[in-house]
Amino acid sequence: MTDVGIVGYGASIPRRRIKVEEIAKVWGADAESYKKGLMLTEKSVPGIDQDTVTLSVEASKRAIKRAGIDPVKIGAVYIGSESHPYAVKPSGTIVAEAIGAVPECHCADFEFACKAGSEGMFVVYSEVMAGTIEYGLAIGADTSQGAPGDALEYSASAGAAAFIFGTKDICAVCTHTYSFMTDTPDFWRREHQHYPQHAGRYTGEPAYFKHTLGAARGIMKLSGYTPDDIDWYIGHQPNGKFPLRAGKMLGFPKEKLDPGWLVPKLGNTYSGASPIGLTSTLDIAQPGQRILMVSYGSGSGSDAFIFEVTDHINEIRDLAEHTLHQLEYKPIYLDYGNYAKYRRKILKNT
Amino acid sequence: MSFESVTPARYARFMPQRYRLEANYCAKCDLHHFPPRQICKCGNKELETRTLPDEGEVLTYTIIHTPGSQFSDERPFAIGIIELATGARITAQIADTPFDEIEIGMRVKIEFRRIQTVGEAGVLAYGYKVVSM
Amino acid sequence: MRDVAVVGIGMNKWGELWDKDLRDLYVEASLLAIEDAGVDHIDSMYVGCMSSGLFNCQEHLGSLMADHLGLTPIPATRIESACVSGGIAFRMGFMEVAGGFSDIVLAGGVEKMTDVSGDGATFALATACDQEWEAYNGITFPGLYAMIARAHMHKHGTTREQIAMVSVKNHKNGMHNPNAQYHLTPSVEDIINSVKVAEPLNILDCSPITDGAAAVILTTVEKAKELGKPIIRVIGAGQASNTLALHNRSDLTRIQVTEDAAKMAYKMADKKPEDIDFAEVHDCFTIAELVIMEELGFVERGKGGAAVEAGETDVGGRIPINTSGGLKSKGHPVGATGVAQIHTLVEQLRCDMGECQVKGAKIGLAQNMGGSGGSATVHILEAMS
Repeated sequence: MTDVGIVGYGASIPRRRIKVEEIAKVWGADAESYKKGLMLTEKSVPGIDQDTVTLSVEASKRAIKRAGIDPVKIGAVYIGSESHPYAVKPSGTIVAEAIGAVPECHCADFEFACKAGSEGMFVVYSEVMAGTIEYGLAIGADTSQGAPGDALEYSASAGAAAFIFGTKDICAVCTHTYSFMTDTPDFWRREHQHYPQHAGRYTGEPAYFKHTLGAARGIMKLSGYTPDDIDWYIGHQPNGKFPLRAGKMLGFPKEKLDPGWLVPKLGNTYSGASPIGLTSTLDIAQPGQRILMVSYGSGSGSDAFIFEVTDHINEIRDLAEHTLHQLEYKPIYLDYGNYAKYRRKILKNT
Repeated sequence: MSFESVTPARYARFMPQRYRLEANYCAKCDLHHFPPRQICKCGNKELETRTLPDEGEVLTYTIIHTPGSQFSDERPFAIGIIELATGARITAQIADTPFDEIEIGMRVKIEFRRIQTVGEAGVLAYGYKVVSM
Repeated sequence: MRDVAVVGIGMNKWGELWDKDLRDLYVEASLLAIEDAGVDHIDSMYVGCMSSGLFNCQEHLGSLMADHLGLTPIPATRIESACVSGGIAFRMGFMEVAGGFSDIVLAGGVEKMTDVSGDGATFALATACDQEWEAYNGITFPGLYAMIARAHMHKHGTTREQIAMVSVKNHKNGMHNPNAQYHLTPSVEDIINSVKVAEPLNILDCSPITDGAAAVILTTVEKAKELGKPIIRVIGAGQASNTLALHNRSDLTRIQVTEDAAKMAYKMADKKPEDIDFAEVHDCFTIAELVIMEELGFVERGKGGAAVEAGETDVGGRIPINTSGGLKSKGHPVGATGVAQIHTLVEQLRCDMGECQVKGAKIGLAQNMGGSGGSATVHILEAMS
């Protein structure tokens, strides 16, 4: 069977940030307990001119630079997000048009809470494997919002990751995939509601942990690998704590999580979360190393992937901005008033 | 204002330029035309399609404090004239860059951004801005 | 070609004229001009107006104004070229008389700008720049001139104070113009500390939003003599075009279109910049006046700021500029501005300017401009003894 894997990858993280203290101050909350409870100090905020589509385009442009391919050869563009800018009208067509993949291209927008990004990876992997397309682009991106004052407001952030799958010049071969699903109502948003609702502590054990651990254990069983055989683990990161705890339960030392554990300064980028973690891990991974990525989407399900890094990674990783560099490059800090304006939380006459 | 600054057809026909910086080029004059033209000033009609580079230099700029209403949520913002290639210059917002860091001669790169949002229900209009490198 | 003279001028008080409609303004100024000329009929009319469609939801101005002036069925044509609509209306009238098609032509200009909000006016004016490649991305007119100012300061060392001095001078002159919108005397400090519009330009660097109209009557020199009016002859007329988008101009410190129009006018008049006694120029923004002085050849390139600072353009200076108060003080109803400049030239050449009279003025120049310099006219008028 032909190897299929990642031939190009890239992330896009907005430069604006808001600190936990700034949000807590407005809602009379104790910043320290949030920082400790969520294990995060700040989160990214999109500019007024940034949304899921613009972040997706920038991440895709980086992926194309690394892949070194002509974008017209991309046969599928899939964006997973829970914050598509239009309720009706695809995001994927805008991205495909902007990168020059049109018109011979399949497009779809995916939605599965925070798992929507890995959905696209799953599908383009399968299409390339089946030989129906030469290259496929999968994007996980969000500019998510928590209800003002809700615990989610401290973490819901913005970012995108894009991956081009193909069969030539692969930097990380996808050796195994596995999915784990049940119907679990831990987090939802009904039509015409501005913000999602969540089921409090029910989002933990029976939701995040059950599916994440289920998928991770399932793929390890399938592959025959133990945590010792895997060099890097990236889990979905709705906060700092959950992925660390899941990693520990699976038997991964924290060092194996560090490169992909961005949540303390990035926040929860929802569909972008584990995919962005994968980009920052690829930025440092060495040939021959194995990476396990497990996404999680409420509702609920997890997709798991095992990648094996090739020699080619050394030739392409510096062709575009590294993810950690974007996270650390001259952040612009907002006060809550500007944050509320940027996130269109202030009612105006229209 | 009842006039629409952006309508779907008008917006869509310029996507190759706004999204991908498609220009054309007169080899006789070594000049890029952005947006593409049907005829160069020299009379040449054989112009070749080219994509402009995504990096350039700020030639001049201003900080807008009183924009048109479509941009009022963004004020104040920086905007400048950027040279991307011989003859190819754009007027574009300089995003994410502290005003006191902007200067003539500064190197910038293109980013895809949302440019205008037509009301609460209208089309979303994307295009290019630049950011400091 | 027949020799052409301006025999009648009319202008109303400019400002925010809440109780006056577009046609009220135009008819009022036109009747004043007709009365001043003492003519008993008009053969043809040109109406300069930039954007009555966006400002007042009214197009088709030629016939509308002919109707309300009681002039139907004469040919009546609306001219649009952004802020030089009035300048071109005058040029068309001049050419029609010079070419022998009509003997008496009314050239007027009007803009009624306060029927829309400030945002609405900004939107309407921005249609004079390249809508798809400039306005789409958020530039405004003050922004375009601010970018010219920034480039001029960078290249020539022009100072913020020198730019502000244009406004000081024009406001000082405007104090003596009863038709001016603003009678203020801001200092350099007032201007530099006024509300920011588009850095480095502030509100007191910008011409205002204005309602107003102006009209003049053109006829042959022969006919002017019959009317017994002072003969103010049009000796030079130039018009030029340039790229609409500022970014497409090779030198961002220049407004080339003015030089091109001026060359044509100087050549026709057989005059040089040194022959001009005074000028009315298009100071839509302070920086514009500095650059225009350079383009007209009154000062060396890059020396506009120093000349204003030295008082060379004051009423008693080497080359007085904008003795009417300019667009800055008088107001800038865009379609009317070019015609109002001719109004001032005639007043000066008739020695009717009172405090702002340029002593011994024989030859005056008017420069009117559209957009950020996409179009311009230059006219040279001479008082015949």
